[in-house]
Amino acid sequence: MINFFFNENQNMKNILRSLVIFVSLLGVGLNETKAQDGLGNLLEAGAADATTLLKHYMEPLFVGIGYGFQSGWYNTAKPHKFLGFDLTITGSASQVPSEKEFYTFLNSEFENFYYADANSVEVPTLLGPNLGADDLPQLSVRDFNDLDNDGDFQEELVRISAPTGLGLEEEFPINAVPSPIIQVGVGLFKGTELKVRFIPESAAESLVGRDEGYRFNMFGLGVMHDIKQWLPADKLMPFDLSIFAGFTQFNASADLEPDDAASDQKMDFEVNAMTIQGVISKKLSFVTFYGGLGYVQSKVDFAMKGTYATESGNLVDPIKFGYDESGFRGNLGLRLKLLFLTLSGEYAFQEYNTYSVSVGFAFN
Amino acid sequence: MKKIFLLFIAFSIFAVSCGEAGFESDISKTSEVEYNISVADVSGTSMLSEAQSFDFADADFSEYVADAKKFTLDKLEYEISGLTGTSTATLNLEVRIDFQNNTGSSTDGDALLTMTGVTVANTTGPVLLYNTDATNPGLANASVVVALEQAILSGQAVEIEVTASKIGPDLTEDFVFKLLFDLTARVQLDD
Repeated sequence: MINFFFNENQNMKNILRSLVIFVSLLGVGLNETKAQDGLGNLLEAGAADATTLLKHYMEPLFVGIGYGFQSGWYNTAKPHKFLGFDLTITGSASQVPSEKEFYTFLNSEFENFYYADANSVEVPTLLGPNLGADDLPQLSVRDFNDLDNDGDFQEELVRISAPTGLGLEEEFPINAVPSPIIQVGVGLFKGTELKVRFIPESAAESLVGRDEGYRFNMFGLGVMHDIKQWLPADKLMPFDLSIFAGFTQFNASADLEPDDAASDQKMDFEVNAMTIQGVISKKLSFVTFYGGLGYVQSKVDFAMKGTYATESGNLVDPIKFGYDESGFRGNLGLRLKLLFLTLSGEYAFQEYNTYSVSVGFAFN
Repeated sequence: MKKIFLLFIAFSIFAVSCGEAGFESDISKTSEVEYNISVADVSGTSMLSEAQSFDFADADFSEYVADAKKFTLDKLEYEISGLTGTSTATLNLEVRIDFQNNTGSSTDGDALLTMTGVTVANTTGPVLLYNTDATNPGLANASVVVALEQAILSGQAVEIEVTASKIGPDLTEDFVFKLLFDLTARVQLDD
């Protein structure tokens, strides 16, 4: 009787546990047991299958984070005066499109995973609905490579429910991926403002109660320039007009075996998000209305690195996948400025429409 | 700044809870119980009688039994293999489950199902004896199925007994009779 599928279970638990905390670091809540539902023993199905399944399942989370980092760059089209500055903290929530709550599991995409009742089946993504086991399709893992040398290449080793979604819509008004942003803006010269996002290499010890090798950092750079000053009759224009370009990079990593110094197992996650927009705003007393229009591009990469023992042998750097997203972005927002305190809210129209709220202090 | 960042993340982590269904997963595997049948056991008018103690939870679901809410017997199949030559003999077969796991006797359990006219020939694949399909409920004793599922959930070993009477000519070759229990563990992952 083949019983290898769960033999590496402890190792898998460590991976899953790390993945869950790792993903939590990105701003979405999970716990170990929830993820075990669908992600368990992925590597035993082979690196290719694990990569394919994980890429589909995690897409709305990872892509949503990429869109979230496009927000929060500005809340006015008027750059700071020379050496004027602001410190702003933004929380954004990228709404998952309804069509991203499920993905189509195609037998033809997998080597060992198999859906027996049809060639394809709709399966929830991580940000899809929370379905009970009766409503989830069961996926088979078959011994297509005859690992037990019994001559049976169709032998079914195990069937397991497809992973379910978090069902956030049952708990929250919107199904969205949160992203946090902290940035500083400094006025330079000629209507130009430099914006910097920076979080130094940080451990997540305060989150999980111990240092288990979870690290993250963020760096971003943006420039806003007043273009109205270069236009004829600019004094007659009752609004501010600028162009903006910004780039954000977010990195996170997790050691999968923090207690084993010899282990090289780790996960890496990297987001690169780029924004180019025209920005217009109009200030009325302490209220500023603003809007932007432009183009965004994001690249999100995920990898599991190191050596992993499975029944069929060691897998080295088994999982690596990414998403490239780009497109139009338009946004509308409102800022309230009370002395030095600024409060703002914004809605961005893009593939993952994004809400964001900011609080900060601004001088000049 | 770091603390604010971490607070935001911490809020995100702890604010999320799962939906009403919780997080369930079905894990299904096939447990195989094998009997090596000697021709001496079924020659003449003698009655085939075999019994094996088997712990399903320990054999195939050890990682999950602690979190399992229930077990379901999806189907029961058999296979015959290892028979050389041909035979025209058939078996009238009975599968019994002894929940007392009394390995001293092979006929003291409760009858799970009986089948008549089972051809003694190598099978090309599993032959269905019972499944949970509502349109084809099979021949199994429902109360024994429920008791078996409960025993597995409790991690209790049972004795699986196979008795059979031979119809037709004597067998001349040994063979392997295998029972395949297709079981599903319903695991609640967020308890």
